[in-house]
Amino acid sequence: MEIIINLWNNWTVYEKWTTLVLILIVLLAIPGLVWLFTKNSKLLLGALLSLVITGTLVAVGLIVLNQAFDFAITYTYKLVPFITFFINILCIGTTVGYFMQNHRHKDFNPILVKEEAFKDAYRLTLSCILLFSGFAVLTPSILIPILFSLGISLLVIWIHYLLLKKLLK
Amino acid sequence: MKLPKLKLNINIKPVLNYILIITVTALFLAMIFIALPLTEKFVSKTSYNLNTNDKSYWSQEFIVSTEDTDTQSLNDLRNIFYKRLKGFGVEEISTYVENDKIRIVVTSSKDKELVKELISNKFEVTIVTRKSDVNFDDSNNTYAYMLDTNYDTTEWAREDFRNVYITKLKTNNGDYANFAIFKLWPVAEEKFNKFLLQYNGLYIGVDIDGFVTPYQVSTTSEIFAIPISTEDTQQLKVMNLLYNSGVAKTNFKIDSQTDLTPGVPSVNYMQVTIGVFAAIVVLYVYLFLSKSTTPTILLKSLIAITLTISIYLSFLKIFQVPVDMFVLSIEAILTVIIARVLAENKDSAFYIEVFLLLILASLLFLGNGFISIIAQDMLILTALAKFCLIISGWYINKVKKI
Repeated sequence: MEIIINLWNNWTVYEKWTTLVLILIVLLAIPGLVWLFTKNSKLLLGALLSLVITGTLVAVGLIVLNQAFDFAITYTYKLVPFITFFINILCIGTTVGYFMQNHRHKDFNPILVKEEAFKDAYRLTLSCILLFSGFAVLTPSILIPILFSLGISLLVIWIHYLLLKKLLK
Repeated sequence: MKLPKLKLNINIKPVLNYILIITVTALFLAMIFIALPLTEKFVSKTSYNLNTNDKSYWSQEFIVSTEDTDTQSLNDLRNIFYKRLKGFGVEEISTYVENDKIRIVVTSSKDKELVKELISNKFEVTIVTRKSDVNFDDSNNTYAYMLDTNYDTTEWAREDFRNVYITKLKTNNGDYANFAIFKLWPVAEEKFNKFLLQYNGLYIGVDIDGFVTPYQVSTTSEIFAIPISTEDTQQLKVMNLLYNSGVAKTNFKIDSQTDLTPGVPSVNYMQVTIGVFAAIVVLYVYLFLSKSTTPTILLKSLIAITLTISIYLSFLKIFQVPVDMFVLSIEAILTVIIARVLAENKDSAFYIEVFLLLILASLLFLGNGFISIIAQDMLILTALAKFCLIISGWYINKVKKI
């Protein structure tokens, strides 16, 4: 809790407002666009939940890293939410794209979306693991933030898939 | 006598196609060559080394004391400092209130003196009128017109103006010079014009922190603008920020200024290039062998990734744009991922681009420090990746036809 209070006290009012607007854009505008494009409440819920879970995972992860492992959370850790939300948006975008391309077909089945989401999650996982580890191993100065971003990103990719699997029954 | 007709049956199209493909291939190779690390060691005529910021970083802690030490005043001032520094592009800013003083920790590659100007200046702007008992033409006191003690204050101050816009305007000599145009709130316009009317043809002044810039009132002039004595773009940016980042209500001064060690992560260009290159090779070999993607898509995305990164790096090298190596490395990884996803999911490209545009543009304007920089670069790189995917598709088709 101390880390959150410190963070809050050290932000200027301007920073607090801009952060709040950013959170609102992420949590309202992205699901809003998903709804606008697909008109599908399950995809909307999936996008919203995966974004909320991403934010929660990042926040909890940083607290655990600081409290349990005594890592100083410096500004390089700002990369963590950026990278994880970036990856999450790619997941949401691919799902919406596949749904939009195929939902009008006669033989469209939500299972197809799940299968495609699995393929995408698998390929994205592979790309992330190889690229981030290749980079992290050679740059010890930001090893922990990069590996942490990789870990959370992988969780986010598969949580997004599991959410779709659950919602698109 | 009729000359025999010479009929040449040459189809010019394939020849032109050959020439086009050769030219484009040469361009691609040139870009890749420029982008590669250590190119500068082989090319002596032009400098192709990456202009990295890594060594220009500095970090300082400023302790600022204020006249009013109530929480509201301190927080208002912190806001102003933050807006000024963020607007100037200072990479990392932390502000705290400790023992009724403001502690500002700055890590930046920007000019140290200009950053200090943003913290040390109150920039209190008021409109003043000349005192009747002061001789402004006194040859023994040529600076009389500059000192605020020779002026009476008026009710007009910075708060009465919507913003101050700095731009080049034509002077009486016909040259162009920089001016600060004071733009009024619409409700105050009539009242201000009435105020100016009282001094038509006379000099009044704009007092900034005790120094006055004279202004000759002319009712024919539609704008209220004072000259700025610098042409330097960075100085002008500082002036703009000082004018427009809020009005400091309390007096303040810098108590101390301490050098700190900048904690910017150092990244080796060669090592990162090798790491990312090795990862791309392993990824593509695996995808090819596992047959999870068609060879055409693999080739298309590989060419697009190579081109995107090469064009971007070549641009940075040729125009000597300062970059942060660790930021560049993260951007390279994200570009590979985005190019792969866009190539793999053609039907999703539009949606991914819309979502990314929304998030990256928001981060660009609302984010701070390195995140704003990465967001801006990723907007460019996403657009470039999209363009390169189109180009690589076209290139593969052309080569196939040959």
